[in-house]
Amino acid sequence: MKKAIIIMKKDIKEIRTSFQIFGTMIATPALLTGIALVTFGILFAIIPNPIDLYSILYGAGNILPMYNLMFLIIPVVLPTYIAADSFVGEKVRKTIEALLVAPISDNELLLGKVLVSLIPTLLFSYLFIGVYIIGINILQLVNYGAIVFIFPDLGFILGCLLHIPLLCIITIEIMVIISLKVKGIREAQQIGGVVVIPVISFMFLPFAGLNLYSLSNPLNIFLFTLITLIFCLLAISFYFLSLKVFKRSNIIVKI
Amino acid sequence: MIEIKGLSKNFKNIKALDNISLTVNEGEVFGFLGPNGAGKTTTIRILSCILKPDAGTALLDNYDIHEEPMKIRKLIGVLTENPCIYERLSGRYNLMFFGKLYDVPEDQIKQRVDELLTMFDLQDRSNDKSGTYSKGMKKKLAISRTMIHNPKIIFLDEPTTGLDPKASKDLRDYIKKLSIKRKITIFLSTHNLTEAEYLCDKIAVINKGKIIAIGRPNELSRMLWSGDRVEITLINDYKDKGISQSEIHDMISSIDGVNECIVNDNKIHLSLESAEKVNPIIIKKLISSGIDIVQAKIEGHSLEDIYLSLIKEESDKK
Repeated sequence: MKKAIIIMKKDIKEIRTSFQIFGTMIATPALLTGIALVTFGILFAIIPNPIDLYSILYGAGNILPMYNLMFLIIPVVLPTYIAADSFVGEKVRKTIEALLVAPISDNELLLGKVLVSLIPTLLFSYLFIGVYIIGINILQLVNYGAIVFIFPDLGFILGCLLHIPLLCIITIEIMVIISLKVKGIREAQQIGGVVVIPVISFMFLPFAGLNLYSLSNPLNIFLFTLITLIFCLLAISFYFLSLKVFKRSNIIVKI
Repeated sequence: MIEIKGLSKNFKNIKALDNISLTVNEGEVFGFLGPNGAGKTTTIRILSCILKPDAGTALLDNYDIHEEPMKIRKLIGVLTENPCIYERLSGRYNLMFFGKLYDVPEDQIKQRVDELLTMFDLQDRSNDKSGTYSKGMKKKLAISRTMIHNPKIIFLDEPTTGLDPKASKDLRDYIKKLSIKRKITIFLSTHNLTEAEYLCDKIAVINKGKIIAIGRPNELSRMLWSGDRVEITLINDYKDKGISQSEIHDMISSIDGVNECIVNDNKIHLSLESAEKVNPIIIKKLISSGIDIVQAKIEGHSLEDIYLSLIKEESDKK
């Protein structure tokens, strides 16, 4: 574990020196949070009656669940930037061999590389979700003088606590597998981008009347539980698969 | 210190290593020569425990590569063909990072890093991003990285590739110093024959995954050629004395034990069965013919001659 942390610290230091990666890591969630807060700011300003507001937020438009789901994209998008640089970048910059000859086990090396994607992603995800939550509540107070709807609700809290780490881990594990097959960082990011598609499909669920983060009816509770279990299963399966492929001898022959 | 026993490795249909065996003693500088794609890097990667052989094994300081790869990684330092340094980070950070990975005690890392930075003349630029260093500086940093944990065995894969002559010489001198003063075993993979000739106690020539010769440079020379080469330098006034080059050639060629004689102005190049026996006869004969001699020099076969002959011999066989 100690050596995994040493590798993680080194990679984070490297990432911090790259404006392209570090900038994108902050810009993506910051932009999303900014757009969400501006949208809600305008919405609260043009709808003076909180009773009308509720039907717009949760009714046909499903604006609030839609934005909530968009925050689930963060843990899927950010690791593709970091993991591509951390895994494939070592191959491209021809630094990986020095790491492979060092006295660290394959598992420590893999863990170090996973942590470097996991920790900043979780940090930035929760930081900007925190800004989003506080922002919406401040906007309510400013426009209506009171909190007119409880935000976040239990579904969103559970989603953040369970789905964000799981989605992040699944994405990183997929990136580990991709990184062994590709030769370029851009190639890795592009293939990694495909990972986003199943998550984006979640965003269309509210249009079908299936808001799985609104735990107000048994069907949604069932869906939430089912999807959480599927994520767990995927995370475990990809974990074993990435452990199987992440071997020194596999990596060295691909350089 | 290093004992390789029947190592073989295939990459799909390509035989990268074909049953190679050799021994390197403690404190020896062992040259591993061969053309590109001969199997040099594959051997180093197997010995560094990052690639598994299909057959055979190797012992490094009595640790088996199959049984105790982690112990082996701790006792070796590997300078790969590419410097493998993190160019976005400073030279100092690079060394600190590898020091920690190699379990250099926390209270000694800083001192060790400073020592290496001073030794390689990198102290002034140690806090600059290593991407801004010259090729020579990057190579020096890479060697410092290899040395950070005081390894017992060092693998050097083409260490002077891309370096200017001054930096190459400095590096060769340092490698020599390491083997003499610190008794570090050095496994040097190269196709730079001058470098190998200067540094190596023992040499193995590998071609197409097979070891085609192994031994000390003079042993290899004797294995390939019987006899000695001699160069005699004459005072260039023999023509004034009415002696022609062909007369000198015929005079020397008629002596027993002379295999080959080439006269070129004031130089005579000879291939003799034994310099010790035949050379005095030649000198006496030249002097008695009125030809004055500046010097007579016994020439060994250069490593280049040995290497090229071995590689040619091997391809002729096929």
